[in-house]
Amino acid sequence: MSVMVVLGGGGHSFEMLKILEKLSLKNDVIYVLNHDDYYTCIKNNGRRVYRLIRPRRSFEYGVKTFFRFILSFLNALILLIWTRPKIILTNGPSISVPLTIIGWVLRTRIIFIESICRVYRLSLSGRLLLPLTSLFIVQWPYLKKYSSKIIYAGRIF
Amino acid sequence: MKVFVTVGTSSFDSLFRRVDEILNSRIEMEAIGQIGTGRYKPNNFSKIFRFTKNIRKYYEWADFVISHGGAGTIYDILRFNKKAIVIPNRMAVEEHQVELVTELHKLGYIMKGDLERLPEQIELCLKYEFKPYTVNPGGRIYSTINEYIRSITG
Repeated sequence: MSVMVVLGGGGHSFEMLKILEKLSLKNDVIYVLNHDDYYTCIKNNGRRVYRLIRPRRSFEYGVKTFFRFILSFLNALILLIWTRPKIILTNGPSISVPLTIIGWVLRTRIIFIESICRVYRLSLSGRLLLPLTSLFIVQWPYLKKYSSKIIYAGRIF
Repeated sequence: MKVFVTVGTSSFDSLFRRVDEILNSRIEMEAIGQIGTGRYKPNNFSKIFRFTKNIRKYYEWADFVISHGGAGTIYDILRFNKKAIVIPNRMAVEEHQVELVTELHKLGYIMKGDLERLPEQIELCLKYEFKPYTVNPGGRIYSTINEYIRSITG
């Protein structure tokens, strides 16, 4: 039984690695990185690390984005069928959108931990993916107003 | 007066341009810059670099810090208990740096900065008594996730 951990680069990776440090995961872990992430530091030895085409670059719109979006979904579908994780752990980078939607269709449980940066408003991916999650954790109490399913459980720092 | 300017894995050229400009008129100020993926290379800094494995060294060297509003950088500022002017990068996705900086400014741990007002904020920052931050052990996040995973895997 395996857990897929989504590392979306920058602060997403920072927060997720910080959480992983303290989780006592005894499961097989599958890491997913952005296809163009050169900065997230995880040691490759014996670990299952995959890369996924991101659905959107920060400031890119139009036809290119559309094709990238389709590619990203196909990429996520292949990866999930290939690895079949039981749980996906994410904090909402863009690659987690196709992974969560397709994962949900394949009956994978989704754990979403909203970023510490989101104090008063949920992120776009948080709002979008909330109905598909089995566990949704936020780090600031103000965010509980969005849904009764949201759990406030303190902060990572 | 020593300042460390840091932007994590992002780029924030307008911040480095602004600090570079300020350094022109303030000879008593010495700056080191961690420019991340930025394109602009400031001229008046005594040292610039993109990334380092030992960022602590620069925090310890500095009297205060000027930074972007990324979570990793804010974590370092708080755990090293450094005086800091933190400027949310408005170019970041969904302007996501604004909320955390605003909240921590309200609570008195950091100063929320602004490129326009940076020179006067530097004066304020040096005099300001920041509230010391106790890095919390993470509340119930880890136990909540662990319990949930255990409930599924049995």
